[in-house]
Amino acid sequence: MIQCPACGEKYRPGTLFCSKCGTYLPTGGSPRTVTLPTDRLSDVPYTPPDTGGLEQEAPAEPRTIRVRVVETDREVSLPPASELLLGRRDPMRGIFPDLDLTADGGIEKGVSRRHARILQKEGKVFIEDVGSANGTFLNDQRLMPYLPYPLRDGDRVRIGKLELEIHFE
Amino acid sequence: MGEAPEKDPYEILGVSPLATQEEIRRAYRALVRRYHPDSGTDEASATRFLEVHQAYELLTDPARRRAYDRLHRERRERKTTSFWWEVVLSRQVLPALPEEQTLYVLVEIYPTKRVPSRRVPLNLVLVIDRSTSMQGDRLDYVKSAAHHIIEELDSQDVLGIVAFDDRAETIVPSQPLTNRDYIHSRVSSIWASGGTEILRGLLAGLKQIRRFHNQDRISHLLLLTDGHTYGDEKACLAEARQAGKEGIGISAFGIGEDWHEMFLSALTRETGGACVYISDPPQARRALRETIRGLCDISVRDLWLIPRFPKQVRLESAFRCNPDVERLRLVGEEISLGALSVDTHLSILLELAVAPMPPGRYRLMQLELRGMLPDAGREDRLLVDLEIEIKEEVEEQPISTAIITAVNKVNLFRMQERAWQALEEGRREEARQQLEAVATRLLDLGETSLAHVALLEARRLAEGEEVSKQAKKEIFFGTRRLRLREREG
Repeated sequence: MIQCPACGEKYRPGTLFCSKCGTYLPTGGSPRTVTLPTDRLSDVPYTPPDTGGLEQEAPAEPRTIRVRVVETDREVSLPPASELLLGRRDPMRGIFPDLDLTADGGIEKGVSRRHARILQKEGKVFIEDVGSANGTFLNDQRLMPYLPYPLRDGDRVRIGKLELEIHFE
Repeated sequence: MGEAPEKDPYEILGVSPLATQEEIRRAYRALVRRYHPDSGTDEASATRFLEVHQAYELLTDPARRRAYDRLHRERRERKTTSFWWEVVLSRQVLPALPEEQTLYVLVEIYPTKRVPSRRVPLNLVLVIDRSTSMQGDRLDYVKSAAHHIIEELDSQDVLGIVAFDDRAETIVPSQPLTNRDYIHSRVSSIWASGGTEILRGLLAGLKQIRRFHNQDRISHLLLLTDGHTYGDEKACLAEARQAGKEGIGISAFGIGEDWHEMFLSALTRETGGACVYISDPPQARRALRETIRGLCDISVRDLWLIPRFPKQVRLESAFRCNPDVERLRLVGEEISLGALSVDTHLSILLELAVAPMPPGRYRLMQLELRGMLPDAGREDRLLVDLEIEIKEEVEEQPISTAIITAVNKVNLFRMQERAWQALEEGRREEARQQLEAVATRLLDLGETSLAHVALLEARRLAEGEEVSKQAKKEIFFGTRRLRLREREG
């Protein structure tokens, strides 16, 4: 028998959900992202496509990015890193986004656990949707998944239905 | 499929029709880099880029990819049957274990014909509860819905009307709709009085419907009631079972909060009919109309699923999970699925228990699907043999999203069933916990308003109050109708 990690009910092996508490049994967590192939993308090396139209600048250190969640007026300064994940925290599945939007109504607003990334390369900042369910929007334009779009200071980004304002420091 | 690319999306991405999501994604990323208008390469092309993107969007949306595959295959195989199916197992390879294991089988059934060659005439009987509680708005709206039905049916259709309280009266004996004025005037003469004895109405209604019941008509009884029936439930269920065997459908419309949802849904289940909750009397007309329209669109009737198992495999449960969740009942070894309408698909989830077996290949089950074509009087049949493999060592296999969605949907329905059962047996604390668990799952699925209904009821239980009848119906019918998205993140 297998045991539900949340409530202890016992089931035959191969059972998918606990009928007492609803836990997804194969991983012991919620099933919401288990089938999303993006979860397996974490180990795929990322190379942004050559944006030939932009002139090359001298390499620069990543800068601090400040994000304001418009609805809750929460401001977060993100560490200067070349790659930042935006999404919802899920310790069960080992997902720890740099900006966790759970507290801003992330579930209701359709934020995926792995939703989007902010990338910095050679002094430029990009945003990339990583195959989210409800999409990422830059100034109301929906982004094609897995394609980095240049970000400017003061841009508005929508994660599902959650509005963010991006500032560079 | 208006926005679908004309070309084969698999060809555009250069992947096999069996490609995994990961392979599709990899191919897409490589092509995007090549064709992106900003890539600066000779191959940069906005048209190609868009084509690649559209192909990617289609193939990464499980529902759209399945629809494409289905359409494609249908074209290729030039279907001769009036329905088609897809059968998916939760696992193809099972580990050799010393104990029983669970295996799910998802059967998706689609009609292949877009429009029936001609509409099959209907044989309808309205069975109207006229007990005292129906007095006023409820009866007025039901009568008004009946007047509309009289106008909307064709002269080839047959209609009968029965009103009941603690006795039944045949208001209009079943007849073709030639004298509409007479039928209108008879409906206007229905007045409220007495108690509710559903058996009386059911018997009188079935008597009328049988007079015109034959191969050339779709026979359906529509029961409208607002109350409990007392002591005749078992007899009602037996009558419904018999009607189901004869191919007569029964749908029930429960108005307000005082009727018994478990009883009426069990009654309609016997015949593959629908059970509809009408919280507000003015909804009666639309609900009836939708049901009748569904009957007009029937492309296959008397659909039966027949699973046959070797002795190592056992059927634990059978549920319909699309268009709504319903526990299916076995008649002998056969599962009645009712009728299949144009533009809908039925999903059936079977839960199997597989006994311990040494490594090797085994026959899991044989599955047969049979259905009658309403206009041709012909029977179509599909048959498939399913196999599984038992191995000592099994690598973890990805489970189909369609199966996870289906099991999730059915499980949520069972969770709320558990809550009501606990409540009925006086285990209030367990019922409260169960309702909270239901609410948590609903929240997780983005069903915020239904989750709040469940939370509110859990709180009422905690404070020693009774569960509201309305909330119970909202949860009971709400969890059956959930549209779970297949792509979730």
